[in-house]
Amino acid sequence: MAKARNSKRLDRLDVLLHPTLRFLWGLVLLGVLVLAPRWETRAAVMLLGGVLATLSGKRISFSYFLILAGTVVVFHALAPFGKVLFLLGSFPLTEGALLGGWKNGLTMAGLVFVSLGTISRQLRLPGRFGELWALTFSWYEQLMESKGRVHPRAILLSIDRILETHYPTLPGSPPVGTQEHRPPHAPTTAPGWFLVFLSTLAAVTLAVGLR
Amino acid sequence: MPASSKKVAPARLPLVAFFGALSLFFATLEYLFPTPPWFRLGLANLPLLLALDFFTLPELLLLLLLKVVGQGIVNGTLASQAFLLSSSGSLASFVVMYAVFRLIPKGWVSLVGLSLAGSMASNAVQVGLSMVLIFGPASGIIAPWFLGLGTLSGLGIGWGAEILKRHSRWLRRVKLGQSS
Repeated sequence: MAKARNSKRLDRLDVLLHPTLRFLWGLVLLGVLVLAPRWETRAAVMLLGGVLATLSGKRISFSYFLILAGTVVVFHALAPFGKVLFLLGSFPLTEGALLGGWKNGLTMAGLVFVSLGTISRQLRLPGRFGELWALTFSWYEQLMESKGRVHPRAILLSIDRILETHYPTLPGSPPVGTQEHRPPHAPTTAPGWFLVFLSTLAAVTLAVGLR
Repeated sequence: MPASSKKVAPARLPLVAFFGALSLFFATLEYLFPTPPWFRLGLANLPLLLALDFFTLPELLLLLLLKVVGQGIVNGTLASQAFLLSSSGSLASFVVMYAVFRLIPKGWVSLVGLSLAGSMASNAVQVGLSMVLIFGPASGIIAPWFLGLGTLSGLGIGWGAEILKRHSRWLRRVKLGQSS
């Protein structure tokens, strides 16, 4: 999978797009990916997803893509259907099974890439659950900053200290914070709107044109 | 488990959120361990396992939701099949762990047993969904490997949770604070 763990990498899409618009844009691209009848369209959306994921600072592992797509193709090929292309020993390799596997493999990889490129960590969820999520995420970021304080030789003690730092339980400790204030995200810029419009138009046109 | 209610207590919400953050933190630490690309250890389940003793059912469900949605947002997989597999596996694991925890008398099953039961449920559901949605029925041939590795990781996570439960002073103080 893409390595999302390195949060310090620059998210270039974040300066262009509001996280909510980015999320909705991702849903439209995913719709095109899943519903497009031809594999060429799915391949194009998958490539776009790969570019977006890279722009958003995620390191795309092409070995992951190859293993995923390859495994899907192999497993589909094991259940032959359609025209026999050639025989591997006594086993028939069929057009229908290979094409079905290829399309499915592209879709699976595309789903991951588009999702990685369009789901921002800054995405705010609505309602009280959204508030709780904001608090959770704030603590998660604080815990991540303490990651270097985990000592393998005294792992329990060090984890206990980290937990006590962020969620104090000792008598006389300050009360646990329950509010998380994040400044509002900047709105989508003109180049951001252009990117969304152009890519969506291209994906939809390709899906309709290649039916 | 707090005997008082079957509701979400507002005073405990920050602790639920903190356990959610711990789940995400452990999910990130998971990347430190080398695993095949199609397999995850499930370290994020460790806080959920410990939380069985702390929260009411609605609070636990809220924690589960924070864990799965949070992982989807932090990892960016919220709109992919990885999210579907992960959330279905987490839900199955939780249902089985909670049922075992509530139905079997206390002291009969350790956290290792709970974790093993949850891990087997999670892996069985994920294998089933992979066969139906992604790889096709032929992928059943990797199921024994997947389930075998899942069993091992379930044992490991249960063992880690048991050690934390016995030796963590922070957990002990949190529990005392909950019961007082």
